[in-house]
Amino acid sequence: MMYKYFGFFLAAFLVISVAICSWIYVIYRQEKELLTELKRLNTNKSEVE
Amino acid sequence: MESFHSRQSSKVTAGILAVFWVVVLYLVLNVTRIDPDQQMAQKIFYYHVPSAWVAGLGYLVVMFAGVLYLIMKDEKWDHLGLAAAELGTLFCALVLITGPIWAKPIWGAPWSWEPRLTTVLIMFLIYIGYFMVRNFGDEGERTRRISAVLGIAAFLNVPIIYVSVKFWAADAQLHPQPAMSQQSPDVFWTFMLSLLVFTLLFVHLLRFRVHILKLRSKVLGMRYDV
Repeated sequence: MMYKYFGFFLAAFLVISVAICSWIYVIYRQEKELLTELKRLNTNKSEVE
Repeated sequence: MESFHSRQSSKVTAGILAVFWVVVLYLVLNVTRIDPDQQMAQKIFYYHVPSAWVAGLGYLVVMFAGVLYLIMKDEKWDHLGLAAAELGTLFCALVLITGPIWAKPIWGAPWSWEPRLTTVLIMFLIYIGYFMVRNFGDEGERTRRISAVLGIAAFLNVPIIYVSVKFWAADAQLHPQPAMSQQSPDVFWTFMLSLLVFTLLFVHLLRFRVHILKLRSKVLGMRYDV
């Protein structure tokens, strides 16, 4: 049975879920880029030494 | 330095959180009673209030981290403060979005300049100021110190938000008075579980963000060395 105002509940739930997932995705990408950069800097450092 | 989710403890926590996120949704949809007046709109409560709790918790961490940074001048407290401010503001934004979604069918308008809404908006705007300081300032000690002081001062608004439903005159209020102890067990325990899941999610995301800030700091340090 579909209750009244289900759309409002669904909208609020989706906003929260999508915002949290997007935040996790953004910082996950940031972490990936930083780890690649760190690896590159470590390689450069050992080449200089 | 390793990836945050390559650690066993992080993987397990993320898995548990994902399962409990679904459990809370199941309880909200199938176990808790339907409010005769508000119908499904009332169920936004199980996400709106825990988001507000986590936003307040985030700002409490910002305040403590700010105090500890000013005393110890250790970068790790600055990282903790920044990560908590970001998360607090994310959840504060979610409160400001889900509130109007709930208010539209029940109050007839998505926004009203009543005490709690206004004080939450003020807190959100103060933290926008906090991020402007962080972004327009340099990476140095001065910006960190100003941010720490701002984080401590901004927290003063959190208790005002909490007492706003009692402090201002009743005819200025639209938010209900807190009365969780009078709720039926299905409502009470589902709400408590949701609160616990949001708190654990906050702790997990905070650890993740602090890990990245530490990593960023290491990369910046190495760039200067090379």
